[in-house]
Amino acid sequence: MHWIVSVVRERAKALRTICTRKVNYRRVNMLTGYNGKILRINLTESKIDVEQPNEVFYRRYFGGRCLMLYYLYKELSPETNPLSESNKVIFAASVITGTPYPGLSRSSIGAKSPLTGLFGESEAGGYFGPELKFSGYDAIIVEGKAEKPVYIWIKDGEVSIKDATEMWGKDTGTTADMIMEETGEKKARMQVIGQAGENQVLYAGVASDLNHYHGRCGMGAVMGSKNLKAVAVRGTKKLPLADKAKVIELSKWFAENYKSVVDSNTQSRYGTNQYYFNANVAGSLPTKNFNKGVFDEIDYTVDDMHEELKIGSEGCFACPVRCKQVFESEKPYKIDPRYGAPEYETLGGFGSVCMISDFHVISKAHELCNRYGLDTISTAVTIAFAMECYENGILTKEQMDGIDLKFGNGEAALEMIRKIAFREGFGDFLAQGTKICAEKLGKDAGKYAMQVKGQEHPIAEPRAKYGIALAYAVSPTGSDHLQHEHDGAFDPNLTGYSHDADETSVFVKACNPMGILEPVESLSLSPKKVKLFTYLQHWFSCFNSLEVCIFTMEPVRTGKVSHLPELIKFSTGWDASLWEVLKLGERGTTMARAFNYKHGATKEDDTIPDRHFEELEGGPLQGSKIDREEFEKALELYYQMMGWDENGQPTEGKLYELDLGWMHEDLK
Amino acid sequence: MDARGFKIIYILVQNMITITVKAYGQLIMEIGVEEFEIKVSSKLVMAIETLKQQLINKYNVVSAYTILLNGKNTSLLIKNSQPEDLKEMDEFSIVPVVIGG
Repeated sequence: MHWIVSVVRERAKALRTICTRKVNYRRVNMLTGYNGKILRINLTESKIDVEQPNEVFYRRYFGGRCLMLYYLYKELSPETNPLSESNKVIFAASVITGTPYPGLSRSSIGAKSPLTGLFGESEAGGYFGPELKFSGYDAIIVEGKAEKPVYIWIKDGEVSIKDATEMWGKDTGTTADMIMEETGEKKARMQVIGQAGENQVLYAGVASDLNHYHGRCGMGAVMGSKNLKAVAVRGTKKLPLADKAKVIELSKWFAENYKSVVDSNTQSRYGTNQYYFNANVAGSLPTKNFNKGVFDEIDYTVDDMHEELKIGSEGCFACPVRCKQVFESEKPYKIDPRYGAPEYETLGGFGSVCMISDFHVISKAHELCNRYGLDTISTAVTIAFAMECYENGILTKEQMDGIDLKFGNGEAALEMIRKIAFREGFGDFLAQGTKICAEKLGKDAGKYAMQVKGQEHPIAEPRAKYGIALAYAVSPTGSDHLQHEHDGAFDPNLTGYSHDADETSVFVKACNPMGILEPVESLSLSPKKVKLFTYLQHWFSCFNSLEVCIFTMEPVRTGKVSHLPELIKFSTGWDASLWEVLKLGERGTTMARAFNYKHGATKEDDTIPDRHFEELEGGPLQGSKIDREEFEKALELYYQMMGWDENGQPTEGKLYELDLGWMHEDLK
Repeated sequence: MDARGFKIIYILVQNMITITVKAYGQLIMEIGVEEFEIKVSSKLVMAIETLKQQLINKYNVVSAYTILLNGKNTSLLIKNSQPEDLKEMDEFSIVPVVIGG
């Protein structure tokens, strides 16, 4: 009887396969660290192709942000509707992804963002990136739109487009289970959307193995618009490296040293959870939709919260830090540990920003967002926007389906999350994000929309660290906290020192090889701050192309600045330098700028909400504000340092210097 | 005059006072106590310098931290030229800075 069941199951599987391509799995000769192969899958035509760019391409763009922008810039027109068949979604690793050193596990998803109408990207750690590389590819470009729901299945080079009709309407966890069942691969790694992506909520994200998350820029909505439910991979062929022994040596050094680096050590214990509590004491915790810097109702510690909910920690490929927390609970809410636990951004978003003090509610909100496939940051900040509109009479209870969505009402927030994911009633309105909602509501609603370029603020207050103001304003993806290292690490008044009192800050010292030699005040937008920001933006931008985790690298964490060029060398064999790495970062930011310029962004989009030019209410930083004139001057200096003109457009010389002359030819 | 003499004069001139220092987050683990007392100048900038030196030399603190005086951010007080003279029973709080993304 068993064999009959087995045969029927195999037949059913075969029927669900729409298209398969067996690709020659042999790697391009002599390549180490990467495959030299990029998959292109057209869902409209069920067509699967493999492209093999040359070595110069790989050494110029490396992966992630730069690689995605190369294709998105060339292949999308300014008229491309982000939720149409003509948009493309790219899943990208880098030339060093999967090299066994901590922090090289990340991968990106990129497309034209439905939230901003500009360049969209979102990175996550975990295992998908290395698995993609081990399956024989460095990136996947998905174009067109499938006639019915599908998922892409890649196993050791063989690529299939499979029917996902039965998975449509299911949450991320159930979908992951169904894919593992159907493929018979318990070790498959996958990017999955939930109902929010299917329903094209503009800030729908993509779950990566459920506990890692591509939250930002609405990449889940783009997948949903293509009827693409998931991308799953299984690869068993480790990549050859140019000098594996040297990589292992660096990894061993990391493993032996990370516990002596304060931030790595505490992160190992708490993830990013402790930052929520520290920021609150310091008065820098965005509270009540960024009106205040202190949330008085937090009457528990990180240890109290962990004691009640934490059941363990998880990590990413080849990383000993294991900073991903895992929460489980039965009461008052059932919390499924497969979805991990809230990190700082989620604690702050649903906690202080929405003024919900109960950590059980916050943890449930986190679980629901991951289950439905919603970005926790945009969801929380959009709900907080509605709360403030309600408080100020712009929205009524009746308009919000009778829900009393006032600050602090956790039950109401949980119900609204569900409504947003399913685009039900008022949730359908909030599914558009704060910018569009504010435009539609009119009146003073724009004052309460905490967003830049259409993307909601993460949970960092610019009036507590002025570099964040610049970061939010010029980030190519809209408000983003991962544009540069936060100011506090470089402040002469705040910063920690090495054991020798005469030495400079350990963080400044870490950045000496980049030319950062002196501390700069947090509460400043001086020319020195603009220079610091610009250099650190290059550093963080290169992370987005190389797919490096900031939680493993200097200036704040364990891995040395010098390790990055060394890892490129030991992986690919290229004689890379820090100069080359920083230029890669600059190239990524400039390419994104050119993409945005082509797609209609202007200098006027480089701003922050008016609220940040007003004094912060209450707490240790009461009265702190961004000076508008100083901000405008900082913006002007930043353009100049980037080699952009007075309108923020990359100049001809800068584009040619970065080997992006082809962008200049197009833009002119 | 020997070093001791200079120190006595320094104390007399600078009007040293005793204030409480409260630690938060991982700083408690680094220092080993939640609270301690310190003798400092009544001038804010000099008091901060003394605190920093003690945190380095006595407690080997390497975390980045914000210093609050009676719940106010001292960097903001200095930036706005509002440093107050410290008084007995005043309180410094040292709070780990949120950095690293």
